[in-house]
Amino acid sequence: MFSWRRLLVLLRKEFVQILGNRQVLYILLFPPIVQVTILGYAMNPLVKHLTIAVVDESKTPASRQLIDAFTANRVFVPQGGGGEAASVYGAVQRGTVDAGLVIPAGYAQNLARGEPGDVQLVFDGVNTFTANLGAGYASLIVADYNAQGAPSPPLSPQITFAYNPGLITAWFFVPGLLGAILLITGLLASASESVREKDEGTLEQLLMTPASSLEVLLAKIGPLFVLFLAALFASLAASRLLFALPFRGNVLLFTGISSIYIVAAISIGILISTFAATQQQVVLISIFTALPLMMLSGAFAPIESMPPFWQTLSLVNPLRHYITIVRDILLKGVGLDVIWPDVLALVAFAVLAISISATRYRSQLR
Amino acid sequence: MNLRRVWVQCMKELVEFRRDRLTVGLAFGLPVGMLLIFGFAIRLQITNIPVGVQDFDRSPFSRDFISRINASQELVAVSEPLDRSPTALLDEGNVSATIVIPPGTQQALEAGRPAPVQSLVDATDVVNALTIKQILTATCVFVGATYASAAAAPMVAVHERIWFNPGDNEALFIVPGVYAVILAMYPTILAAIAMVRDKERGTIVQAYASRLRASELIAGKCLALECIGLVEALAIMAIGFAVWGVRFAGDPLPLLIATPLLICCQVLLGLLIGARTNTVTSAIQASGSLNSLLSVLLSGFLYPVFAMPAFFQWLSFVIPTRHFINVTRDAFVRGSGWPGVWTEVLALACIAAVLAVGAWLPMRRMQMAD
Repeated sequence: MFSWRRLLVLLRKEFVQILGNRQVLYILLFPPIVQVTILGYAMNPLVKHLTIAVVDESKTPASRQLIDAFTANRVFVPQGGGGEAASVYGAVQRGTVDAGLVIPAGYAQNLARGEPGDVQLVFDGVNTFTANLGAGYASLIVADYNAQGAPSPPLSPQITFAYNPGLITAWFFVPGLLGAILLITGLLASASESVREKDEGTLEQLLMTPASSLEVLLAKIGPLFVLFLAALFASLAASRLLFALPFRGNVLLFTGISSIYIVAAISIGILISTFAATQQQVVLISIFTALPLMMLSGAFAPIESMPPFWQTLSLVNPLRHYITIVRDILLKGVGLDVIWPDVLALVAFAVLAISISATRYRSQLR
Repeated sequence: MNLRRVWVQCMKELVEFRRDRLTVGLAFGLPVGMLLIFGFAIRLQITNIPVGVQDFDRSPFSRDFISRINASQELVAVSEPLDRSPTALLDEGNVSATIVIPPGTQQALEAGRPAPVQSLVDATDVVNALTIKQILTATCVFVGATYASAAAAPMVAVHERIWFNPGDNEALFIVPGVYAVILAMYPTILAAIAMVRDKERGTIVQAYASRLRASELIAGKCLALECIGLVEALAIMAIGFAVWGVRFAGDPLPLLIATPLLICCQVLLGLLIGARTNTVTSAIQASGSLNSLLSVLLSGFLYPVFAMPAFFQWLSFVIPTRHFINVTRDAFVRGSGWPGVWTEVLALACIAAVLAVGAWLPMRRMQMAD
């Protein structure tokens, strides 16, 4: 029988236990806020200041114009170069520069004759991602440069950036970081807190009381839930101050969905603790669960780029749905009419996680 | 320092580790599992972004335009009904951009009048947004040149080449990075627990009471975990070779020296965390969440370090993974050997020395913290 009185008593026990340990409190509240702000600042996929070694064998006004076009926006920063083409290729090979540009001797003559001037551009492809991005920038620069002399471009795209017109990368990363950090800390904290009862032998006492496993579980979730919700809003406030992160949607809707998500994360942690016997095992399993969930969620690496099998698999990842929802609510300001499929998936996941862990919690002793 | 006592302490740790069968299984199974998941699933290169096209023109030009977009591997054109507003389409989130080809575009082009193609791009994901912009610009230049009456010939033709990873085999970039991330994670956690467990159970008092010195205790634990870490390293690199064919591109010596150094750094970091914290829960939180997030995200595993703000570039100097990633990528992809990476190996050695002192300081009196 479910009893509110027993739940309240158990909740009090858990609150006293968590609040009593200053170190745990500090470690649960501090990292989420710091990590969101630090990583929001530091994570930047938009590569600028790529070093480029330039060899100008043409040495004409035309070739200098092209070099200026490359280095004007500080996307490419000249470094080294000036020697022979072979030395530039060598520098790219050793990785001392990111790119090399070689303008051959006949460049200006070709242009004067109305033929296209050929130039060589090589990238250090060890970091495939950066190299491709750099190549993309280079082609935009060249397209712009080519358009300068032409009367008016025959066909031009008019591009408007929606939701994030300033192209601020933190706006993209903060929702992902919020979800990922809540998942990692929520999972680790709940797993290690509940396996501790097992380690210290107090689990048997807890299970011997008339309390049902659902009551015990809800009491375990309670204090962590309050802490993580506080950490979430503190991190949001910090990102608003630092990155001017907008909040365009409904605050109540956001709070409700975040609560479901936090409960889901804590329940996974408790579920893990029912499989493990010691703290050591619990951490290893938690990290192993959390990291793939984090990397396969679209928080950092795009889902569209994954092989189809992994894309399908990511549909059962609660983090993926939560991140989509957070980006939708914060940046797009859309409501339940758009995000309901993700909310539904999240609710289903939370219910499933909590009921499986309640079933397994009781049977741990056998 | 008495080497025999170090050896005995090391053997004690290994025996304790071996006794817990599940942990042994996890310590080797999890890194391998993680390598396989990350190696197969993580791709940063942008492909298959869905963009919605509203084609009001329905001309040979617009069909060419759409097939040209589909020919790029980055974008996939999805035909959208003409009566929906572009903003509503973006709100739903099924497409990352909408492109509107207005009626009469082909006629305008042939008559030499400017013909705008409008596009609303979802800039939530900034990299996606820029990629879409770049592809659209290139498509317009290419298709526009075919249909416009007086097209100007391009002045500059750039021949781009991307070196060292021909065929764009992204696994070659990701997998060596995953080696570093895995080796940054598991040895640290195991070490933090090995240190704090003795404290929580109270068995550390026996070590305090014995003739064992703090330096010997740390050296013994470090040696044991170094062995475990090296076996993990060997296992994942062997699998990387078997599955993705990641093999040495040049002189393997820097990697052979840097790997034990990195593991040493990570183990010492774990011991330091263990020495500073009193409960397993807090040790786990510190080593698990902080260390794993920082070494994944600030090390250059995903995004290059030089794109970060200056302060974080400096900060990342003290993250061992950052240096080790450069060594693994050099050893397995570039192959420039010592001239390219000697500074990284030196940095790892310095970090290890600092961490060793850091772990020794709180333990040096071999007494319970007050």
